[in-house]
Amino acid sequence: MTLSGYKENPSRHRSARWMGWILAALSYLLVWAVVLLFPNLFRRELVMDRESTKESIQQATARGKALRKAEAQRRAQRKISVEHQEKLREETDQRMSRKMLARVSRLEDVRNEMIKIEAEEIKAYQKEALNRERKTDLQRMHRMFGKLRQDVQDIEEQVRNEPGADLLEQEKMNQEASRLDDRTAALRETPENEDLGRATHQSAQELNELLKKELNHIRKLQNQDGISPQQKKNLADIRKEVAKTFAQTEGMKKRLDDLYGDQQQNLVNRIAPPPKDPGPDKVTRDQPLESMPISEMYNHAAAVEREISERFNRAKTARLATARESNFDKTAGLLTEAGAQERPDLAGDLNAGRLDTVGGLNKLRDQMRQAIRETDHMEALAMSQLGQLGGTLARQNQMGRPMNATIASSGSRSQEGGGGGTGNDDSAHRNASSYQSGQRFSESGNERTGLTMEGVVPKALPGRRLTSKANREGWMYIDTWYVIGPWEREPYVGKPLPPQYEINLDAEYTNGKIGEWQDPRTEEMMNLDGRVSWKFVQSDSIYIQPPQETGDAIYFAYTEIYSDRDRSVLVALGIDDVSKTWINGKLIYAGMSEKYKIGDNMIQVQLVKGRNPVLIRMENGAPFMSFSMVITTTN
Amino acid sequence: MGLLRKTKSEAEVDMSPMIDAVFLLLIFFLVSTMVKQRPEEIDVELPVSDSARKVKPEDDLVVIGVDKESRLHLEGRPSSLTELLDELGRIGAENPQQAIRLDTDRETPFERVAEVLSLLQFLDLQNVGIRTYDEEGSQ
Repeated sequence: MTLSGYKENPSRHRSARWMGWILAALSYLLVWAVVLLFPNLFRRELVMDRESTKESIQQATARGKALRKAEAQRRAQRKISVEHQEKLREETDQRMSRKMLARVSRLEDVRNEMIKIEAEEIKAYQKEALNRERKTDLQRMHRMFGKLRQDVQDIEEQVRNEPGADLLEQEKMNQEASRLDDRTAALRETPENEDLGRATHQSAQELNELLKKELNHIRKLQNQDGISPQQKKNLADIRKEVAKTFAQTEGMKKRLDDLYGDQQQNLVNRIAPPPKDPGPDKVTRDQPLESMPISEMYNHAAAVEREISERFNRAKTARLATARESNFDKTAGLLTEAGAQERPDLAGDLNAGRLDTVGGLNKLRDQMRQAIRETDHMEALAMSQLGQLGGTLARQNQMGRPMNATIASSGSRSQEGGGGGTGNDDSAHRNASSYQSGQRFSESGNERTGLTMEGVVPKALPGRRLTSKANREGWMYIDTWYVIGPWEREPYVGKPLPPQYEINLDAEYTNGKIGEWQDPRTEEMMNLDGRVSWKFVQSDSIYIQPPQETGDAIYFAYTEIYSDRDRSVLVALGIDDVSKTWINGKLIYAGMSEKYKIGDNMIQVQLVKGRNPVLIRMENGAPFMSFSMVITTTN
Repeated sequence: MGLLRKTKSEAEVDMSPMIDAVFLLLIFFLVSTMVKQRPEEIDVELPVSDSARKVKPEDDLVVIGVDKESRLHLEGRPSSLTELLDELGRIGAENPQQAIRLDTDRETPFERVAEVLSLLQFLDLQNVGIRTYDEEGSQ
């Protein structure tokens, strides 16, 4: 009942009343909250310092961790129903197998390319060895054929005066001998010319046939009637000459057959036999990758990695043997790089993964992930090896990266170019003294510069970069190195070791020093197993000590110096005992110092703009070993 | 008074579609954030630091990873030291200001970390950050 006819809605009225009650209750609670919290807030402000907060957070974190751990343990023990076990296993296998499959396929692609590269390198090595053999033989043959040409002319002269002589055949023989001589001379310059080689072989054969005919002809002349005893004697002499020439031609014909004819492959196999240990045949699989369980795929990947590694070593050795014009086995003895890395045996766990609990399933998944990670690593190393040999797959792989990177082939930096150093110490000394930009200072020069420990050590600062923007000048010591060793000194004195052929910071070599030796500084025993690899060494003083320091050992140290422009620097080398130093692949110093002295060897060196690789070979007798390199700009 | 009776019912805005839309958007962002995983990340337990400075993430970032076995990774892919040296050398020559992030495991031997840092310093790559985990809630 309202004045305006508005009819009151009883439900609205009830709602409003409830809302009122709720608001009143909330207000009541709010008031109490303010009353109760206000003193606490005030008090918390006083005690809430940084330390206690941190402690509270740490406690809460620890509680959270413990709870998570307990929860994880509880979950791990939770049983999986039998009907789900098979399904989960299948799903997990499928998902992981897909990932694994892609990786193993790529690894097989790398292996296939490595096989091609290896075959090419060995072929090139054999070709080079054959041409070397040919060149040596052709030098000798050229001399012999020159003499033979003269002999044939002499025979022609002698026969010409005899009755019944076949002058036409004589002329032919003379022409063939001249042709053979000319061809041998040309072939000596281009021993790889197969066509010319075969033509020379043909000439030798034809000359041989002609000489044979000549022998028969002379025999007939000797037997003809009415010939005087004097003529008979002359003919016998001529026949003797022809027989001798025939024998010589026969020998050379056979040799030319070896060099350019059908026997060529036999000779190649004899003078440049392919690697003695052919390694495993191509790792094969009975079934397609798609149908392999993940454990077999992992084992297969590890086998493929081993094969790639062995083929890489053989290809690299063949390439080096070709470059050095050396024997394969001898070169292999120099490199002695370790094979593939040892991989954890996961196959058993992958097969035996228990799935009746959540923990078992998680463990299986973890192992599958580890298998994938290991395969990733195998692929990376294989690609790196392929890149070192200039494989196209490695280039494609790098180009496919978002960074559009370049290949790793430049990673192998040989120190064997230019200034030499492959030979013995004497030749190294000669090279050092004749090195164009590496000019040794005279003894008096050393005295004038007055480089002493007291003068340099406190002032020298660490670094490896020389830039015009640098705000300090003076001596800089090279503080960062990669050091490899020890090798036993005795068998390798004056002989090159792997780092002199290639700088591969990922390489591991197996011909290092073996046995138990005492560390001269800590006096602890070290067990050396012969495996040596590059170790990162950074020093806070100018002295660098190699890891695994022993006496009668050889070490190598490698670093790079950056220069922002071409500049001349003064390098002060302090190395104990016998050492050699290369900068930018050129030998700048080779010599011996009986005692470490900071400025014992001062050399002026021209650095190029960019990175300048430095390699030092050190041979030391005493167990204590340290070296230093200090540089300054010459102006 | 039948005329006034029409005005009695109040206009109400139906909130349901808006709530639906908001929830859908929320779920979309949540899912897309969870799915988006940077391919260059490797499986490492980051070292803890409560004093690290937060930096704005950059899109053009080169990530170097070192796992607890000291294995190197570049952009999430395993890499050899030689390859890393060459790649970084090229980057340093092209763009010395290239942002680099170093992800290491808390169990990675420190000498390996020092080696990588020394390498970056040598190549004049100075825009380098080390990724850490902040226990107070952020990375």
